[in-house]
Amino acid sequence: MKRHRRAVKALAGIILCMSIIAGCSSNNAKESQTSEASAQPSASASASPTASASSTASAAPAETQETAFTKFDPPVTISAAITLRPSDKLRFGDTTENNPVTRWLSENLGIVTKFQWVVTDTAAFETKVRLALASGEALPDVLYTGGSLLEELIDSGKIQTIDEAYEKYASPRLKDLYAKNPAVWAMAKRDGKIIGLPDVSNGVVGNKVMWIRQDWLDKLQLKAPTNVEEFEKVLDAFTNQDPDGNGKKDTFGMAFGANTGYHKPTNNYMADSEFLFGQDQPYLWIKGDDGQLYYGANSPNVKKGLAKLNEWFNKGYFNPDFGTMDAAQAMADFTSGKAGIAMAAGWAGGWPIGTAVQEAKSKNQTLNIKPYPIPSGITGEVGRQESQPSYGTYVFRKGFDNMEAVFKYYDTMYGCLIEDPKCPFAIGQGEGYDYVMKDGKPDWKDVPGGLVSLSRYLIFPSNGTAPTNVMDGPSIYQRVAAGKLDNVFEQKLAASNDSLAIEGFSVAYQQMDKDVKNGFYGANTPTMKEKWEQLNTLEDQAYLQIIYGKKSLDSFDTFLKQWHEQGGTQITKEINEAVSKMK
Amino acid sequence: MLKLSLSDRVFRIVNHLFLALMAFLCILPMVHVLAVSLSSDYATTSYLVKFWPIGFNLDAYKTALDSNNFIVAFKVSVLRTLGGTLLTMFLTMLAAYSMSKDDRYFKGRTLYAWFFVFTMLFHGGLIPTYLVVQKSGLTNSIWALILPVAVNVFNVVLMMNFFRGIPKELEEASMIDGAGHFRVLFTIFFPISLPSIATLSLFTMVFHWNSWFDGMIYMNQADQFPLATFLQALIAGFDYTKIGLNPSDLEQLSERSLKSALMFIGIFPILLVYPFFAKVLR
Repeated sequence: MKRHRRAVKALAGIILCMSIIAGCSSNNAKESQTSEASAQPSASASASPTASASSTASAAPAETQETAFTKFDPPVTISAAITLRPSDKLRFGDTTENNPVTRWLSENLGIVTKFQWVVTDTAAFETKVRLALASGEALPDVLYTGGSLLEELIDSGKIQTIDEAYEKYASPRLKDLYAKNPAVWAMAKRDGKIIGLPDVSNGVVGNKVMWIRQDWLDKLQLKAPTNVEEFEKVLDAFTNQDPDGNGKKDTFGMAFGANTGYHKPTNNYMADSEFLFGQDQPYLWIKGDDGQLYYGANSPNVKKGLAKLNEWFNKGYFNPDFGTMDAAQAMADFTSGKAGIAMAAGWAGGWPIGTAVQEAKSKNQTLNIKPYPIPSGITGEVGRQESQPSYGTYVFRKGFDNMEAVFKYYDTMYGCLIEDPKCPFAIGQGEGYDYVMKDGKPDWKDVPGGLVSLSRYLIFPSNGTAPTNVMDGPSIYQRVAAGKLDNVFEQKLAASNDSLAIEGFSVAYQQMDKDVKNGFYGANTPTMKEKWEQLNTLEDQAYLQIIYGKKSLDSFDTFLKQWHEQGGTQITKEINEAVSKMK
Repeated sequence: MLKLSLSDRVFRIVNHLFLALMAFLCILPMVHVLAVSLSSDYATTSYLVKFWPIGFNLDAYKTALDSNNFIVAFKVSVLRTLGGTLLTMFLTMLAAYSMSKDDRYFKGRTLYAWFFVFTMLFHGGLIPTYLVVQKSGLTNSIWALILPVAVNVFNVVLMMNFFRGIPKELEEASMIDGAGHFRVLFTIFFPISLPSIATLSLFTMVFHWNSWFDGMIYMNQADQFPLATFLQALIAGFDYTKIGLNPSDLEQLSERSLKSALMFIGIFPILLVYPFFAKVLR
């Protein structure tokens, strides 16, 4: 049950993926704020004589000058929430509110970090916010959230609209970021008003590539497939021609885990079969020719895709237990040499694939895995589900009036994503945590006691790579994969990531124009709240039964009819209404 | 020794075998968790580990014991379990003793009894309970974990019935010798009811050790979380639909050994309590 509920939420698009961040303001924070509020204008005016002086000098460097580090004096406190895990380790006597990153912020920007709430996970954070809303307890200054909790916060009237602050304090490069990614505003604008700052993803984090056993391909003298026909041939060879050479027929063509936990059997976070559906992805809200959104399953090509999967199942191309295997188990088939192909995102090159490759190396076994662009699907078109454009929105407590500090903070961290040389954490977040200095050079590998990321202690995180559409030319992953190690960001990425992960992401970037966009990322509509779970289960079972051959392919039409009758039609209507409202 | 017929003996053997098998089945998951916690990352993420560690190492335990939060949370858990159990048992005994008395000795007993039973039947619900705790200024203190659950009416009723079973003559005799109610309760009733007290203490201890929700909602500082709150978040699992940009999310995916180690250390102390109590219960 719990799982189901979570799945519904997930579908609604609550995405709180970076460590939960929420603002907070305890009493002393409030006090300092009121006093700072008055002091602030003067602080920013006199902020830094150098900054104002040189910005008049020429127009071009104005942008960089505005992001020069000017300090708030007296310091400004921003409160938030933090997610901690039992295994967290801070070194040298540091604490959550006093560590290299928070010290840098207070020493250079005059921004003091305060964690009013400490939580253990997203669910705990959501409970806390709801309790605070119900009990009238003060919210933290900054909350990072999305989905239905965001709607509740908007309805509660406890968070502020930030249009004015955005106009006034957002740096040109931040405005540019949002201007180039207007899609993210769907989550953070209501009736034309800005209710928060959505983060902008790099657009590639979840995008699938095809990981393939290169050693098997070589052995059977095959080439990496680029379309379904070739893919089938490789599947057949991997299944029937004993690619591991142990004389037994114990291999599968591809790793497939259909037990996703959220009723999307063909779309898992690893080891799924979404490529097969090309541009007709099920589970997404796809824009039709009439401009209206329709649910992916309505496309006849989904049915064809399922027929193909059924055919592959009958031929034994994947593990017959796929229906009960989750992504990690299915991937385990791939990494332990039972399956030859797995669809997974670029990061899989680090874990679990990178882990397996290292293990093989240490045992002198051959395990040669390579990422390739995904082949075209059943219709001949290449397609995969897009990564979400935004994973959450920062909202601000009503009564919090240090938005200038927020934008300064946010802009500084944004600089780290777009490889601004001024990024304070370009080399790393803290010496002794994610890097050490050796002979005057940073070393990102041999940190005593292991690498520790300090990102969770930042209210606005700086990790990840550049958001979509803002940087010209190839992405940092593509540059590093091509061997470019010019700036410190490239060197750090190369040193602190598995080479396979870098390669994987770089391959994923090649097909960015093939991503199928989801037209709806909002909270659940009223009918969805009631029936979505049930419809998802219906869909899940229909697909699985067809793939397993328990039901004929024609039962798909029955499923569609049921889906529409049991609320699907109404939900489609509501979604289209909701989308038109978000504009 | 009683002479057993053949069929009796066969039944006994089969019965013992069956029960042993059941017990074995209960232990297996724990053995699995232990094995995973001692295995290498590759072996655990490839689901190779069954009941014996593969790629034996103690890294997971080192990480767990070396972290900031784990030991602190462990201490909070121990403190709340010990403090909570002592307080609960004290209050339970007081309530049970007075309510085990007859209406003739204790006027208004029925009223008090209903006062207690009422709370068994009706709850304030989450938000009112939270408000009470918050407005009493208990949030962010260990008392928020102890006081709201200090009296479990079910336990009081159990103990009350146990006290009622104690012959009245014992009490009367000691009263004649000049003992007051407290003396009767602690020197006469207490030793006699040790088994029931031990049982209820065990229940209370396990309850305190495992409660995670109160820690989650009442605590706002890292050094106040009980271990169970952290462990719950680990076990509740990672929501794969929320995979984002943060590398630490991915770290979490690959941390099966560490999670298992944390879980194992987490259950260990409470496991130790059982044999200790078994002595009293015999």
